[in-house]
Amino acid sequence: MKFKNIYKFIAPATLSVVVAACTPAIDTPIPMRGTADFSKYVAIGNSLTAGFADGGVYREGQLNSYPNIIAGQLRAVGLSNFRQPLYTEATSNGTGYLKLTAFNNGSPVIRPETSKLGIVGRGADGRTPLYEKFTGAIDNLGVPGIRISDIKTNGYGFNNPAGFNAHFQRLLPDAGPSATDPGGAISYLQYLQKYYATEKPTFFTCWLGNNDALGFATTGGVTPLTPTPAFGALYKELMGVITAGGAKGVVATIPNVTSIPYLNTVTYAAVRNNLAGARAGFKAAVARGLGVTTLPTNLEQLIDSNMDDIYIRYADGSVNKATSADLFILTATDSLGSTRTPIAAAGGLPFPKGFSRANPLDHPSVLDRNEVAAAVAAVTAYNNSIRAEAGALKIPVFEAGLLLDEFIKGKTYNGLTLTSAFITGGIFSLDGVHATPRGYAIMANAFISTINAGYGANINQVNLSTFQGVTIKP
Amino acid sequence: MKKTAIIAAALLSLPILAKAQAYQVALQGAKQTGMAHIGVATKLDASAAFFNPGAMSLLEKNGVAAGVSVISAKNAFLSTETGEKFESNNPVGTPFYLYGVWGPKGEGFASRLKFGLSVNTPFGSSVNWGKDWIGRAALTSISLRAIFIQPTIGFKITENLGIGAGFTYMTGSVNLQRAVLFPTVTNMPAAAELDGSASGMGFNAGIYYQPIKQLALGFSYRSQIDMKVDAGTATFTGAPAEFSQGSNSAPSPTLNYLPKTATFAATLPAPSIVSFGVTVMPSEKLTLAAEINYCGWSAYDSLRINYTQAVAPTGPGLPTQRSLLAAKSASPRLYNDNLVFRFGGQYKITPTFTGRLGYAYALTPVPAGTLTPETPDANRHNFFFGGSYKVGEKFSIDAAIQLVDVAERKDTNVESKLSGIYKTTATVGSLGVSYSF
Repeated sequence: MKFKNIYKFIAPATLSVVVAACTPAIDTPIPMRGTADFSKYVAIGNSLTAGFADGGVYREGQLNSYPNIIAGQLRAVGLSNFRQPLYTEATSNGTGYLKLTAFNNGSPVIRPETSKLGIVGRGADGRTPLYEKFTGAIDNLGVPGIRISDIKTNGYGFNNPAGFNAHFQRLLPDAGPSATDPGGAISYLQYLQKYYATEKPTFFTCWLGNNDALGFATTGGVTPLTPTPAFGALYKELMGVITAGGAKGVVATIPNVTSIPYLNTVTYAAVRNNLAGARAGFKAAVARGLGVTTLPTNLEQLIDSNMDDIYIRYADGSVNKATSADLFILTATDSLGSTRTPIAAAGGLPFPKGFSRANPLDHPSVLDRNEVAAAVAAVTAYNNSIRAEAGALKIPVFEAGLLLDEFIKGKTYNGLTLTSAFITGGIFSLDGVHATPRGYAIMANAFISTINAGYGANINQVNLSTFQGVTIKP
Repeated sequence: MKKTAIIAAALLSLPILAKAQAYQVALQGAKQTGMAHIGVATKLDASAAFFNPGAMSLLEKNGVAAGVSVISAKNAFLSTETGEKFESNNPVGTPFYLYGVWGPKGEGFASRLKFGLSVNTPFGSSVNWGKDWIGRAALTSISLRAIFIQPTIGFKITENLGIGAGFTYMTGSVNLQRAVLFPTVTNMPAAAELDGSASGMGFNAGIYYQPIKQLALGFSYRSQIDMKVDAGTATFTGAPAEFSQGSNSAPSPTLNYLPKTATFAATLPAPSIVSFGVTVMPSEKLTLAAEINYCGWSAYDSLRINYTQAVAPTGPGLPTQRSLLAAKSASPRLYNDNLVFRFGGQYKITPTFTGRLGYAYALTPVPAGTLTPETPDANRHNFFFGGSYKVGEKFSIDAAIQLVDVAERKDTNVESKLSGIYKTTATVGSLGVSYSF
């Protein structure tokens, strides 16, 4: 063999190497719409749907709303446009919101954002803020605060002295109720009917009902729960409206309202840990007040017997020892330990709030164990209504409650573990109730997964690691 | 001659071979690589010091052999959730080998002995997925480099039966990089880099028996070698100041934080390999061979990284990546022992040119649920082609090409929940020289 033959040997060898070094091929799945039509998508819901985060509605949060994330993925299967009532760049901070500015020795420093707000005044009731109007056509019809029990309330968004929903008011024309133009006083259900008549949506997501139990939970049981029969009847009516014209869609159930960080961050155990310190501090203060170094024995005993646990007031006015089954609201720390007027029944001493039998924590600061049970029972009943109505119309259901439960222990996505813990968990925003962009992306993925399963579609989910959790905004 | 060139071209246009499985690299001789990396029942040259010390004892001449390979491997990952596709950009791997065998000539006991030295790289890995891909919290890049040095002795019992054994010392380094994703303060990306030097010891032994001129049998055993990192350095960068140790007088009781650096220990097993081979030589020109390797990958039960200090103290909030940040972490691997089947042969096309061809099928040791971006393994087809060109009586130039096709595989890792489809292909070129005297 001569060397020229070596070259003949090398040339094809080189070629085969080049061919083989091609990129490894994996067939990329093609997005498919299945049996649904996504050409016109409408999102119906409350604050979660509106992209409410960190205690407010602001442009960045709106852009990260789960309907907007879903819409982005639906573009591959026929959606051309999705419109939201965005606050403008000039008023991008909208209603204002809470921001994490720093950590001080590990404790979060949370401040309200007050610049570039979209607040234009105060309503006729003298307290509800008025927000900059949004008059354009929209497809995200999420109204923060709305309950199922509100959807047939006329004038729910009408600026009037009896109070109103400012977020809904923002979306409505100002005319107010009149014989010729009842637009200003329409209910949310009528608002949906008007939308359906003009926009003719082909696909909807509907996530309503959270606030019927959430309001009860976050006020420590003060705001009443919506009665289950009323909820069921209204939900049935709602389903009739949103499936009009043959629109298909997905509805979501309600997560357990008692699992949110708003009710699970200030725990009984953490409060109880401060009891001994509070007692010692109080004794020292009383001794200082009396000008003695050692308290009289009877006073010492009075304080010890009064400050032997954490005390809370129930809805019926009774005073009870707190347990780990009682859930303290996130802001309970503001009133805990605050010294109020002297308690005559307890030797005239100004016992610190919550740390003594004589001065229990007020009813709205704690969702007590009975109220927890009532809230859980209500959510279960509401969800049964939602499943029944959706099942009758063969509408797939996104079980949001089951999803939230998974985060109590932590759920891992592509190496990122997220939990329902406040701030550290990554999915709940600074208000302890609503989601971070990453939390909303999880919701969007769950909706997409429900759509795929229910309609034989193949819509890609979004990559969670590209969405923000709680961020520091100095 | 023209005919020869055409045959060569035809053979070369076939896909050819490369790596073994997981982080094993089967490229320890260009001649063997040309025929499916079969070497336990052959005695081609000084590389017998590695493949089978028993065969080494029967080598007729002293010799040296050396070679290097170039691995170009590409990994792809398709997220089944997002439909996004990612490709690795791996640095080119260059495993090498160096062998020498010498024995006293003449008569008597001493002439039955052969002394050998093997220096090669039978394990290694180099994968780089980049810092932006979806699985970056599991891995951004890994580099495992290991050199195995093995003094070997062979003993010729009879003219057709030889045994041998060697002691193996391994030295190398490992570098593993991951992104650290905080659930909070996500606008501050952080990364962890684990870097350390590794060493380990083991042995090998083999027996070679050639009952008749046309048949040879070989058996070899290479022991497991634990590649140990005793004091590696973990460096954590880019963490937000609030989460970084030393920036607060009192670290947060509720939030995760990272030290700037930490010392760690870890062990990666190079599994034991039992090999059995049969070689048939029906004529002077033709050699046909088959070999089975049984690899003890079940030794790789978990990847344990033990930090000498707490890296992520935990409060009420769970840490982001328990596997990476726990003081003592154990990521499940749960590998199984596996088999590799090799078939190959060589033909002396001319007195100076020998052509080789081979095929190997490797069953993956990685079970469902523990596939990782470090070793996105699956069952592999390996195609081999090679040849030797003799220059004079003593000198030979050996070349081989291997094409590896790793089957497409879908998995969700039990720990990272990284879920998707992996696909890997690789091309390897090997070039070696051997000299006998």
